Amino acid sequence: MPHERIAAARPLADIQGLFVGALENPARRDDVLAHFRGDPRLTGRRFDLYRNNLRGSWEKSLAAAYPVLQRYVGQEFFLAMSALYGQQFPSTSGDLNRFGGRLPFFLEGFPALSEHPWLPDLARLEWAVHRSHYAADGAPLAAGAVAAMSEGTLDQLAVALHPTCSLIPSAWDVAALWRWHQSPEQGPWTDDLQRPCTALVYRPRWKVLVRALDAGQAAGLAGVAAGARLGDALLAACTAEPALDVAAVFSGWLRDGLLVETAPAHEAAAADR
Amino acid sequence: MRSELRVRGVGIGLRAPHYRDVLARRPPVDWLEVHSENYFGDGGWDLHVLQELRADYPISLHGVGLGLGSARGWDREHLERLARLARRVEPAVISEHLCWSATVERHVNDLLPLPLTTEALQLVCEHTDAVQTALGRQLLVENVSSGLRYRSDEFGEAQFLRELAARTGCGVLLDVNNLYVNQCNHGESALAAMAELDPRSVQEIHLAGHWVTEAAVIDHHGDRVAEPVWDLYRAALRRFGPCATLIEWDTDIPALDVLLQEAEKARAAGVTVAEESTRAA
Repeated sequence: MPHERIAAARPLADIQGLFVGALENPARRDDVLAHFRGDPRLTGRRFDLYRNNLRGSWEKSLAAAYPVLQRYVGQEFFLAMSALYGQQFPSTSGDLNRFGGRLPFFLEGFPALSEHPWLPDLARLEWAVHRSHYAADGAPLAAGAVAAMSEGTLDQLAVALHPTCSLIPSAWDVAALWRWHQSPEQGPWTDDLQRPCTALVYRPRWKVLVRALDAGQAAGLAGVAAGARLGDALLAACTAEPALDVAAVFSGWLRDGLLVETAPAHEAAAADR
Repeated sequence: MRSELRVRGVGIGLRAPHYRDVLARRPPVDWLEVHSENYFGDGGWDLHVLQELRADYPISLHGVGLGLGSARGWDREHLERLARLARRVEPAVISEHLCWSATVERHVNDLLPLPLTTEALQLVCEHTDAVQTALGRQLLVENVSSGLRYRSDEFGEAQFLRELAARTGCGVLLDVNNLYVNQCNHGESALAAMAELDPRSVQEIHLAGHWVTEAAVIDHHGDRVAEPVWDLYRAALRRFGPCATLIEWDTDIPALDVLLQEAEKARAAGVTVAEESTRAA
């Protein structure tokens, strides 16, 4: 992240370094307390309020992005985990909505949850949902525009996933786990999750949705995500699942607003010739 | 500078739990304030709601993440996001806090108290200049509450803000609750702080609830405005004249009507003070 340097700011930088050092490590609190006016017994307690704020902000922002994970592990565990994550993967942005992006990576190396190996993928899914919520609105490729295209143009159409969409492939059915959380009245999670799944995150309007894709749609949309032309992406879908009704699948993608056109249609038409 | 003021009357903080209510009812407040960072995304529901409401209300973008006093310097990306949001929303006012919030290694995402030194003043002036240049407009800078004061302080906070406003042309956003909190925590007179400020620089006032704990008074923004803060608010109106005022509520957010009642109280206080001054004249 680019920062302008302030050459003359040494002593201020030193105090701020001590302050943050003491927030990270209570054993270093006395170093910064020496800089405050007043009785260190009182300033020490007041300093601790800032540490509590910091931990509180970690938990709050992670809970906002990872509600399913929080419910799965329980509030108390989630709080402790947030504190460890915040220590190991410090916030680097003034926008707390960006703080939790490395939680899937953290979970991969977190021994306390090693018996729940699907949780990193669940976290990837939840982060994709979080990102989708704030993603650009732009108009998706619409059925009307498609209807006006020749078959050849359509086949060569350069498309990409809409910014609100993403695919989360996993060895576990994390989409089912996510849907379980959407019905709070359901009992505790008991399924074993041992099914490979590609979860699709999409946002038809304002509300983000998740669903598991069959093998054909997963292969097709993975093709789209990798930059394949529309015809090749649909071919990949049919290859993965020969019984696929390709027209129905494509109109479903359009209805759900999954695609955007990346190059103007006339260029695709020129390529066609 | 005062003539640039484009929010007037009493506003409330717009928070996500109230979106649907505010969209449906369009409550009778004069303007809405939001925390800038919550709208830094490329799109989505939050930004959509703000775009809808800006047709009916002047908007104040109130930042909590820029860290004007962070010695590491400023985060260009953050400032660019703020500038992008300002282009989208065309807010009536943009404000930030007199605080620091990050080192090179870590962002604390809090409004941390700044040593009120000549060195810090120089830094905050440079940073404020850079923000005002990037935004192409005036920034308002708000006094913060603090549990801690530094031995190295050379200024009181109000004095610091007066100098900052004089050197950079920024406006002052006076949080009366924060003045009261600091009066309780440090024995600093809130009235004396108000007397230090140049009345022409004060362009907005914030009111919020606080929480009295054994170790310190905390501005948790989770309660109604306390009685002594209303007294100080009336004193502020006497000194600074009619001034755009915000009711802030950020934790344990109650029904919208509670905020509207507080806004009504602020309006009534404004009327009372205006009548006083008419009688005196």
